[in-house]
Amino acid sequence: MYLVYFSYSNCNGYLLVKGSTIWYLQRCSSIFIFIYIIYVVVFIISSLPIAFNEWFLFKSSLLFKLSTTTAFLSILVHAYIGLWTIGTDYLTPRTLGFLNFTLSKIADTSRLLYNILFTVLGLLLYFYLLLLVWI
Amino acid sequence: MKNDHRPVNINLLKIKLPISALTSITHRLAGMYIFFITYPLSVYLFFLASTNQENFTYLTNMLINSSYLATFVAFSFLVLWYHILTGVRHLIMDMHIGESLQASKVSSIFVLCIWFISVIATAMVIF
Repeated sequence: MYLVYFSYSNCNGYLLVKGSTIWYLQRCSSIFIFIYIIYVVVFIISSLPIAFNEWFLFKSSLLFKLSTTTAFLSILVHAYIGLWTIGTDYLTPRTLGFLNFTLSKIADTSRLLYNILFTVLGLLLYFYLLLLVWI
Repeated sequence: MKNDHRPVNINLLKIKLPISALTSITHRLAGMYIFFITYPLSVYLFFLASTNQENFTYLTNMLINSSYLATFVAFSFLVLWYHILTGVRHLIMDMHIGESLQASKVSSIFVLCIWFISVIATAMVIF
């Protein structure tokens, strides 16, 4: 509810989190995700052709479990900020008003629905991934 | 809405984008693709690869035998690779390096070249 409120109230120029904090969060998370991807890709390339036992050992290691949990949390934060930015850039009465006047009337509602969609999708996939990683 | 004949130059077909703007907007589009397709796909691949031996061999056989599926998976991860490349370019520009018009043009072309080379290399591996 907080997330939805945060994204919805923002169109009035009313921020609950400092803009620079959001900016730094997105950049720092991207660097962490990049390091995580290098870590996984180096394993995959170094063990080609890949066998199940090797992969199973890798994915059972504590380092992999912890880094996957934090990296996908970073992906969630990074994607939330990015998609929210796209929503506030294009799904606004002003931008949609360029296309069509009636579209501009439903801009705020469609942005709210879009925000709910990607928040729910991201959280569901993340919790499903956590189940796969830790159980 | 009194004056409906105001000139509005928002016709996307008439606007000619500079190459640096092109890499910037495709970075956004790639980000949306990654969230809605690559991210669920990677979770599904992880599910197949990590549950048991049968699913793992099923996955590797599918990727080897079906070139459509291999192309789809490779394309999804190439879009991620494109997002990373342009993202690194943006991070470097956030540090105030290469912000001039000429430098941003050169870096965009450089990023596109690297990405096309990786696309060709991946296609050669698949086919």
